[in-house]
Amino acid sequence: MNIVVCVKQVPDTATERKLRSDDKTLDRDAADGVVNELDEYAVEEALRLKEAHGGEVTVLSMGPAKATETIRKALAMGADKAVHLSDDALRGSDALSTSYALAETLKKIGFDLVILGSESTDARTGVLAAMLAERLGTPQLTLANKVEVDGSAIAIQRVTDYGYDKVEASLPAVVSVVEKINEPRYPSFKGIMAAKKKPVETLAIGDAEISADQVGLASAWSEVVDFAAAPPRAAGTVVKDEGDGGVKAAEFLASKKFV
Amino acid sequence: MTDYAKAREVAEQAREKEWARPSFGKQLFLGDFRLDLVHPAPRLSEQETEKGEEFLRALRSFLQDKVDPALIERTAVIPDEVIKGLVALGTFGMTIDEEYGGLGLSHTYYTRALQLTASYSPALSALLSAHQSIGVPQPVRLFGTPEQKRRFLPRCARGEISAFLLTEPDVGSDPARLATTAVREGDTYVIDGVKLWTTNGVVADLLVVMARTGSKISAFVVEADSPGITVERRNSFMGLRGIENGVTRFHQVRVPADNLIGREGQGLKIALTTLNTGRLSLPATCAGTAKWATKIAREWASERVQWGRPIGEHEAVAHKISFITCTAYALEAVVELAGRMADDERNDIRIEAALAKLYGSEMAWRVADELVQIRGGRGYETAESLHARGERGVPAEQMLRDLRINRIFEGSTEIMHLLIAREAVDAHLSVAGGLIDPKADLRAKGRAATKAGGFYAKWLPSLLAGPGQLPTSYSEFGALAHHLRYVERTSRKLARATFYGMSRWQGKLEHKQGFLSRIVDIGAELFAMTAVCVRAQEDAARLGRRPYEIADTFCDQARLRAEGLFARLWDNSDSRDVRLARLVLDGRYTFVEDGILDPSLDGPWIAPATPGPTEAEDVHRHVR
Repeated sequence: MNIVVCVKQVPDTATERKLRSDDKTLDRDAADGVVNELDEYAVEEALRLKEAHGGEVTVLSMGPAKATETIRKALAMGADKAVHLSDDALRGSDALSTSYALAETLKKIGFDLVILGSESTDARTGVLAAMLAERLGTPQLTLANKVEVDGSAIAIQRVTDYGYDKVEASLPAVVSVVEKINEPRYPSFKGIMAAKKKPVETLAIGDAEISADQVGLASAWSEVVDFAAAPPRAAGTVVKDEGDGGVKAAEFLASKKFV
Repeated sequence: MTDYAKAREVAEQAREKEWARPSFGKQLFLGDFRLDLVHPAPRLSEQETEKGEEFLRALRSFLQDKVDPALIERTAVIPDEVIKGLVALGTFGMTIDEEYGGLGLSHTYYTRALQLTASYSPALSALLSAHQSIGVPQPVRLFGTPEQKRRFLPRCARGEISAFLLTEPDVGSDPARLATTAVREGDTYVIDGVKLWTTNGVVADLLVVMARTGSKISAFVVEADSPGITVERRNSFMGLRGIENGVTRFHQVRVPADNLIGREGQGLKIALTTLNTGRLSLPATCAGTAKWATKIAREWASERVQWGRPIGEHEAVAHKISFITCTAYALEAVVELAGRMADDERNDIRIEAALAKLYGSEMAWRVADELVQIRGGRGYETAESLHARGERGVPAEQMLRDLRINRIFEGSTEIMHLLIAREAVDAHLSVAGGLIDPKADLRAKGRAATKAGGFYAKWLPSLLAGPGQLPTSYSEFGALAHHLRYVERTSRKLARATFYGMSRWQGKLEHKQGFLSRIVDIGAELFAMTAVCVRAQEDAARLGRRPYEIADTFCDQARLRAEGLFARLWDNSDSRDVRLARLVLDGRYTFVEDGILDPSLDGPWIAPATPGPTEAEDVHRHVR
């Protein structure tokens, strides 16, 4: 089975993340780049499927040159090879153009199964899996906390607000995973050393036959008009318990329409 | 034979007597300052350096991402997930050859990894070093048959945890009293006995067990879940709260004869040889803590203002900051030099490693104590408490507690003094041994005198002059050259003092523990000064003048300590102390104890370790 995992480099959630004042895109220099946490679950799931069914795991990442760190991390976990889509023309792409660029690349490199995290911790749109499936013309199996493959059949357990959906489809397909699905392995030192020697193919948009007028900041369908820092948190309301603490707490919740 | 003579004989048998390779430390004590042996310090290959750096990066990010040292301190347990993560990373096989599934790291990077780990969580570095420096990997690597290596090393590299079991309730520094026995029955040995303070023993998969086979001691690899083994207790301590250290009972435990390491009777020699380089891990952890203390001292002393200025600008605190910083740099220099010499394998480093252990554990303790003092009330407060009331949770008191054991285990400071002194005076003993042996007859003494005469006729004059007196010597060290000249001169002075002590006390010298400990401590200061100068000269290429400044001040501090020790060689209260202590033991001064209440709980001083089946519940567990 030829599995492709889409991996994104995002600014470290533990540090302060910023937008650039000039074009209002993400300031990638302001914070360390790390692997989008949900994508680690996707890599782990891909590795587990490969271990169970054989095949090959390819990492696909779209991002600036710096994203190679993230690619190496996924390779260190055990993925076999990587494709790095990197081109200045891609900077500032929104979800629609990102899905277009990734879909074109996926068509070029081929796949039986595409796995990705259900969202990224920076943009948090959570729509990429659906867009990719649409563009590729494959079934979409999103928000999975369990994935089973049997021959060319794939089944997932989809996490919903009311419980689980069981969703079945046939390969090729696109799957997005949630963090409950597994416990990602920590790369071993041998894995880290081996990753240095694994092939990483870097593609510019021309290599993947991506047309420049459909990607990048200028072609984005959405635009950041303005942004401001979140206001500092105000002091909370303290309910002092003088025998009627429960009543007061209930009244407070009722006043905010929580109960 | 008296108990003392027996103990001494056992210790003597275990000593490695051959000196096949040159030893900087041994020559230093003989007044022969062989700077050429340590300068320029041997370097690792580019490939090994790259691999080591990559590993340190991986280890650092693992510690940062996956380990909560405050949780380990609070719960007194290293979470299984942390151990599994360390296993996955390969840290259980850092020193094991790649051929057996390990990482095959150099000593240099092994000690750096421990330094990094210890600065973050000393309990974790204790886990790793107990497993690799004294547990199954090291003795099997050095003394195991190819078959034993194939059987055990891959398991250790895969993360099966090992522990080293020597100590017993009645045996600390004196293995002659070892009570655990291993009796050969056909193809197996049957082991009976009780072992104490089994670091890692509570969670171990494989054990190195020291047991008596007849009159001598042998070393065995034992499967920790063999029938008859019970972990009866998990002990708790002043510091290193996360370590899995307990009491393990052996009752009729059958061990295949194939699991004997080396030959019967080689056990103690194996243990001591293992420690020759194994001893480097502990000073590495000491250096790690001292480096961390430097960071905290700097940050706190520039932030905290009292009486109108940052406390670091008050002289009393400034002294401490200088001491902490210089000592941290020196401890790292000592470990680094010894580690690189261990990798290079051209030198015998047993004295350097022993000096590093002795000096590192003593100095790091002082460093941590001064850090607590600089932090004042906050130094005494736990990190958790500081954090709970909204301040940075700096675990200064924890580091102090965690460090305290280093002066006790893997050879207490007092034992290290004797062990190094034994090697330091060995050259004298080997030529003058008969001369000072109280039991030798006159003829033997005559023969010894002739032999010794030849040696001393050549050796003594060489102690009178040397390059340390020439103002141009060691000029490649620039501003540090005068410190190296001091080391050269002082090593000769040290050798003269040792010789004088020997001729004065002859066979009784071995009991002059005050004198011997000072000789060794002076040697340690001289070794540290040398290591710092060599390190600073190398670092200057990258860091400019700054390493020189630290090295210069460190050497000033070390010289003052050495001079103090010299003064006390001859002017001390040693003999009065010995006399008074004897009277204390006789109960002559119990009035000093009037007016107190002893809070100790009931029980004998030493629990009887009666062999036989266990009466306790087994608290052994596997981390898998």
